[in-house]
Amino acid sequence: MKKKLLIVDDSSVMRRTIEKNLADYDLEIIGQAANGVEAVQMVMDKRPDVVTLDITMPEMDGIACLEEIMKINPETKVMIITALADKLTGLIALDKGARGFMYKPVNADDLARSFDKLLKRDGE
Amino acid sequence: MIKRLTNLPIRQKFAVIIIPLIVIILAFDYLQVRYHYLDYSDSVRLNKAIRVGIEINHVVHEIQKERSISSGFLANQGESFGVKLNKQRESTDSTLQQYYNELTNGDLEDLLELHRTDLDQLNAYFDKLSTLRKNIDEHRISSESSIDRFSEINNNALNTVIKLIDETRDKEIAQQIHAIIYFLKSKEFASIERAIGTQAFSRNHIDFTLYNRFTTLVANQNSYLDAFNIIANQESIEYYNQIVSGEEIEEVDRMREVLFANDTLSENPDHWYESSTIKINRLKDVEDYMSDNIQKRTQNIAQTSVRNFWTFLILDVTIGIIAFWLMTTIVTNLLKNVSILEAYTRRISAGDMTKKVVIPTKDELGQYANTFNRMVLEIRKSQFELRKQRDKAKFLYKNIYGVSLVVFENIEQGIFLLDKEFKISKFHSKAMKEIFSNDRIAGENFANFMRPLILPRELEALEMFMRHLFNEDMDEEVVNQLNPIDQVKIHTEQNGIVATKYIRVEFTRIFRKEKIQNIMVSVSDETESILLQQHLNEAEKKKQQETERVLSILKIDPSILRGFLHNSRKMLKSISERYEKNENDEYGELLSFTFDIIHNLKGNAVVIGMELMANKFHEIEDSITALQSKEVRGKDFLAILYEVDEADRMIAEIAEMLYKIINIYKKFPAEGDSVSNIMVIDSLERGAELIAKEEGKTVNLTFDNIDNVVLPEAYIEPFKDMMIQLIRNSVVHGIEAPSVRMSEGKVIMGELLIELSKSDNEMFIRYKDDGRGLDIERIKRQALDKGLVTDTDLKGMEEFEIQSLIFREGFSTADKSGTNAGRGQGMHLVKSILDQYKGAYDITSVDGKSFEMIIKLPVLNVEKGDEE
Repeated sequence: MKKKLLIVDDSSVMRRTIEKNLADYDLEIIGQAANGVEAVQMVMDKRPDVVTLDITMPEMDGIACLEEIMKINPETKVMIITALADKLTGLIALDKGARGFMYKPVNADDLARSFDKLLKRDGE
Repeated sequence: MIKRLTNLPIRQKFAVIIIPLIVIILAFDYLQVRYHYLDYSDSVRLNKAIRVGIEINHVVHEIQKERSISSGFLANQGESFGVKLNKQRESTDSTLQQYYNELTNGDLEDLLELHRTDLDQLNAYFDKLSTLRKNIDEHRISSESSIDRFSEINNNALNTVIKLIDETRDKEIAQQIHAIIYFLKSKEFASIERAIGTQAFSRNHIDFTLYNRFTTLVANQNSYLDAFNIIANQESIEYYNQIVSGEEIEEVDRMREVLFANDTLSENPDHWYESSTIKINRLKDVEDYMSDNIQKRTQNIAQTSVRNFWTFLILDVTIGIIAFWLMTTIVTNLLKNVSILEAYTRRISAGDMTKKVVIPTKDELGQYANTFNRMVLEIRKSQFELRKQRDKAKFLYKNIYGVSLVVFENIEQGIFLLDKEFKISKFHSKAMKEIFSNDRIAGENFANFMRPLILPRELEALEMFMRHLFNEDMDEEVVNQLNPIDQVKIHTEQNGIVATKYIRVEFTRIFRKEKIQNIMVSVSDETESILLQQHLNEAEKKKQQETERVLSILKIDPSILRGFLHNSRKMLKSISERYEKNENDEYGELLSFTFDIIHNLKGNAVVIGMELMANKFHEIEDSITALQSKEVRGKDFLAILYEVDEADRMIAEIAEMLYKIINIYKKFPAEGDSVSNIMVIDSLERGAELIAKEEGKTVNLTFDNIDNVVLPEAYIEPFKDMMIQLIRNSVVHGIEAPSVRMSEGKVIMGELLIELSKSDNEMFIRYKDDGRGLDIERIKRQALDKGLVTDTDLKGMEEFEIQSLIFREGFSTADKSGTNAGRGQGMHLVKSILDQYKGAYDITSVDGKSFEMIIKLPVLNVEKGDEE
């Protein structure tokens, strides 16, 4: 069964980049959200297995969104993709349950490698 | 007790077992030997006693005969038996003598000692014989009394014999001795019977008393004989029956019947005596036979005992010696083996395993020794293995661990391991100490270690980060992206000197059995490279600043810039001149003078867009402001003067740069016209704006068609120089003050227009402003004032000629002398450029409305060719 992916980022360009780069993966993209509130709603409705999550977003930021996602389904694999250079925030995200972390801008190779790891870990 | 026994050394244990055994054996042997010895001594003693007893019995036998003869002699008052009696007395004394002789025998001492009293008593009785004999010879004693006396002696002798022999341990012998005793008693009675019979036959009758006595004797005699027959052995009885029989014995019995049956007796007393004596001698034979038998037997027993004694003694001693030898041999061997083992085990425990233990015996100890040797062999094998392992470990230590240590000693990176409690490992590279200027590293919590060195936020992140590093679920690469001290600035302190360092800290997971065991941390001091980077960045920035400076210079109209630079230098120089003249040390005044100049220069710099110099002058202003609040001294002012000098130097540099740039343009008058155009336009726009600002006016410079007409390189400088002069002239003289413009219904912002156009062989530059136009009357006045023309000249001049007076050298209409106008340079420059390039011009001035000038320049042939 295909894993369900939700892409959360306030930038449509970024969302498209992630979508395009993950096209080769055995993933079903079940939706895209532009802010934390939308993302939480989608997680609640569609129960994705994997979520890529931006940190700096309007309405509800990535950390708060991550907390909500973990409340809904702690099994969700959340990959943080952020331009935020502050490492403490990144570590807090790991604390809150994120399983992956990447800096923007993403390139296809890095994204592939991170997703390989994220999904391989899942398979173990 | 048992515990004390079991705790004894083996030697003493053996002693505990063996000594009682030996004692028991010795005791048993002693009893055996003693038993045989007692048998022997008993037999020997009995044998001696029987020898003495036989001698006494011989005496008794002779006394018995003498008693009978004496009885007969007394009974017939010496008529018969006289000769016989003497002979008999000799015979008795002879046996008595034999007895005494026997007593003197040396080997009887112990026996004599034992029976001294009895024998002394017996000898006393024997001594009585002589008195008795004397009484018999003199007939002073009756026949009956003599018998009694003799019997008394005999009785005592027999009792003595009984006492002597009646002591033996052998039952059989004891029985036969009693048989002999009964026999002796019976024989004694037989002998008394003979005496009484002899007496009776000698008297030829027997009275009642005698008769009674005789019957009692026979009865006693028979009863002892019966006792003898009961206890004597068969041999003795048979011998008795064989010896005491025949005619002679029957004759005695017949005569005894005579005595029993008759009062009066006619038989010959000799015959009785002889017959009785034969019988008694026969009895004596039996007695001797029996004594002999016993003596032989006792001798036999003694011999056996002696043999047994010696046999046992030898056997015992032999057995004892053999037992002792065996015991000592075995025990010695055991102890020796035990001590060999003990010594061996001691050697083993001391670590010497080179030799085998050799126990020649094949007993348990021997097997134990073999087992021990095998054990030792195994131990040696293991030791060999261990040694191999140790050598391997040594090798590893030398080649790997040693190398690691050497690496740790010399590597410039700080390297250590973190455990799960974030503690720093004992082993860390030496560089750690140098990087952190801290000795206390091993065992410290890394977060605590870093606490004084980094920001609280970084520390918080570090703790979180290390936790994630040890989290198996987290991908190492993901976590490492968030390393908060990937590159961090730290402040170390050593000997009170605080040093700032930039360090790079990297973390690597160390796995053991697929579990995160440690985190390897490497720390590198990147201060130098980062400082170098910073240095490079600064250099880059400086370079950029320089470029900017160049660009800013390029942006500014060179004439304005030249004017600014010239003016600045002059003004700055005036400060130092004033300082040198300052004789009264009035620094306060000097300071305010300086401030005014600097402030003015700053304003100028701002106006022409020279940000670099504006900033510098601003700095000087700040320094002066700082001084103004307090009393100023010479050295304070020197600091200001230094800054002023610095500013002067900067200006000199800019001037030099400007010179260079101009030279470059002169050297490489080439392409890139449009770029030049843009720069020129920019420069003119800025110039117009700045000049307007200075004059308290606002203007808007518009270019028309300038994109289509490209100025040849050669015309750029002249074009710019001319335009800037025209702009200045317009702003200072043409464009009215805003209030004036407002009252005249003009827009406040003055309009300036530059238009370029071109024909085949001419280039047209149209310059126009919407100012008040040229004031002919004022020009005339000015020209007269400056002595450029005379009244006469003016009268003959046309309007165009009068207008052209503004291009004359030394003409200036401005009342005051400023940076923008009034030095009589401006318009003359335009005219001289036009002359230089063979240009022409036309002026159209509408009074109160505008000023317009059209410049014609010939198109240069070279340029033309290039363009195409």
